[in-house]
Amino acid sequence: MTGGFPDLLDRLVRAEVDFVIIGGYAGVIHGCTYVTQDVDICCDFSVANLLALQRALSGLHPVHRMTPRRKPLELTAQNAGEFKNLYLDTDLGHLDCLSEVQGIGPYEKVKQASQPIEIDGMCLCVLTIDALIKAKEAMHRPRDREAIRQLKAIKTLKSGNQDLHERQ
Amino acid sequence: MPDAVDVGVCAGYNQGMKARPRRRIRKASPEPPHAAQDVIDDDIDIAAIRDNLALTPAERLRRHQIALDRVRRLQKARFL
Repeated sequence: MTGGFPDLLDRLVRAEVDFVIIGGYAGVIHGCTYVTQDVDICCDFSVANLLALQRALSGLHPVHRMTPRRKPLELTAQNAGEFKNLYLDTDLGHLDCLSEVQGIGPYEKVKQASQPIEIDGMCLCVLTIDALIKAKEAMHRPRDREAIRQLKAIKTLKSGNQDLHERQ
Repeated sequence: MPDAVDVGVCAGYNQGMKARPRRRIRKASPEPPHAAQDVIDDDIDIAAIRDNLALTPAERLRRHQIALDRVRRLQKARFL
């Protein structure tokens, strides 16, 4: 791993956090060419999983970046159940943790719509291209239009390559 | 349709200059229809996407991180 987001993901995997990579970073893994400045994950918001997430981020000075005073992340067994989403800033970059994805559903559905992708020996769950397109289309954000176009192109190029391999 | 085009008609700036020899270049045969043809014209950089698809996911993330670090440096320097 080379630092930055890959290291962040490595920490989550090592701490056995149950999560799926969604959003722009999932698009990058699939082959999109844009640069995204945060990693979005959908994760199980159970107390145990959120405490594992906090352990994974220890030493990275995680803070709630949407709060006015950027409160440090201080999850306990008592307060962990109160959160639906976490928008964090860490020493390795922004990490947004969502409990559900628009257009797909809660974490269980998101997990079903994911695929395992191996990266430097670690297995990451990443939202499939189809699910990613569906999620982005459901949000109706102008900034997602380019990503949707790229994802559709990737899907077509990949199926074209598959056809080619099948013909050979 | 002719399979070659004549590109050698160049008589120089004026009649006094010696005309270049005629040259014939074989016209490239039209590309076979591609499965991705419908997205090629969709205002996106297909070549860049093809390059990315030739990489492994790990290589894509490394490349992305390099670009992101560059963006952050520019933001810090207030170029962006």
